[in-house]
Amino acid sequence: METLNAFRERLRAFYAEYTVYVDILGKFILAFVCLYWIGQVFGGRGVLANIFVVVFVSLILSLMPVRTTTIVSSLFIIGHSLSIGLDAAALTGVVLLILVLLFLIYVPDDAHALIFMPMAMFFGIPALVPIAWGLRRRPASILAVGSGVVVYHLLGVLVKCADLPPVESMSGYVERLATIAGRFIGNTNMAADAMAACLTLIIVYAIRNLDADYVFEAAIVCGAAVYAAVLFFANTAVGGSLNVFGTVFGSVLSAVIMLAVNYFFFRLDYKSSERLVFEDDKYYYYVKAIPKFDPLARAAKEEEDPAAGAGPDGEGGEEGQ
Amino acid sequence: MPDEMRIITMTRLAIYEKGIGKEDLRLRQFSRADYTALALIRTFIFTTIGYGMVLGLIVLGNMEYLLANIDKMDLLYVGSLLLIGYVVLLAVYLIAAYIAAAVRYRRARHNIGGYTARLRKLRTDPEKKET
Repeated sequence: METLNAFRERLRAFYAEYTVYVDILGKFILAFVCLYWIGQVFGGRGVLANIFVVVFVSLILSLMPVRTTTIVSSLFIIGHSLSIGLDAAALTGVVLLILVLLFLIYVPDDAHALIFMPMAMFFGIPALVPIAWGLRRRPASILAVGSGVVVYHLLGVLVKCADLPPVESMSGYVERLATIAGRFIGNTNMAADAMAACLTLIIVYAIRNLDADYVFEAAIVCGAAVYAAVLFFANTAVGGSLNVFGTVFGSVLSAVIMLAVNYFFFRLDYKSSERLVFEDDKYYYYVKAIPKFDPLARAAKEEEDPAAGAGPDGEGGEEGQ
Repeated sequence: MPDEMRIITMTRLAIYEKGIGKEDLRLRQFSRADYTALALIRTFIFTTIGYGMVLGLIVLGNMEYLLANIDKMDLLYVGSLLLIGYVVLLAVYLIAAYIAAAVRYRRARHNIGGYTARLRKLRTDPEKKET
């Protein structure tokens, strides 16, 4: 345990020292995994699935905000669905636009759930994202997580529709579009999955806000159990199909992964170092601010002066929002 | 020789401006009523367009059924249901948008209060030292 604690502290100090490089590498890996996975979902065909294109785009995205990866991933999904047909691309575009206008525009900081949730569902660990968002974000994040569920089922419908016969006329496109839209809207599993994900997030959020020991761990375990239970009952209610063993195994695996992530990343304050440039009448200042890690001293100071931990210190306003 | 406390204060102010202060300082140009009104207008437009697109998608997905049964349907009743659904959805979104905008504005004003206090202290400190 002491070795793990020491490793954890070294990890935090490493991040504080090399924030810029770790962030760029992390964003590159994230973008690469997202874009590569999207290409594989569509059968690994086409220009957008080419590994060099994926690497090149990922390199560009590593220098941009994380939100850009979500936008580019969505464009890649539309691009890939063009290989199925104009109708599939139109449907994808419309569905993504609906999700943006009705949900994501209100939770822009959670928009990456749009890609993470389908990825987690694809790899059989669907409870991972609702639990993670419930631990770190807020109840409004259900809009983003639910949108991710919709994208997963949209991808499922698009991939299955690849076997539809090709069309040559505009009326054929409209007819096939109606078929694809009908399959998407008639998907009963989508409602059950969305319900399970949203309820899990809310319950995890409620538990982690309790004033008790080991709340994070309890929230993770309860979240996994709630996900499996709600999915089972919701599927029964809507008459959808469910792989019971796969759901239980996936929930357990999600909980195990989240316990590890929580121990190494979430429970620690991974503050990044800041590089700043400013000036006054006399000097130019080039400042590198590296965070200190002394939670007891910080807690005592904040107890004396609550304003010191918020507002102009650059903290406090966003956390727990 | 640069004053250490002054540098620390300026650094913290710069961190704030780079982080959450970016949005807070942008909000400063609006009055509470204007900011809330903008949020409500934006919500109204996006919700209306989104609802229309969802309706279009549902119609497209059920095209065969609708074409076969349109003459048997009570269009007035269906239209009323759609209108009531739109009004209810819009009401929910507008209330949520109003509350979110009000909370965000109050939080920003609180943060900016601390920011301007520190800025004022930064400006007055050298004057005190000189005197």
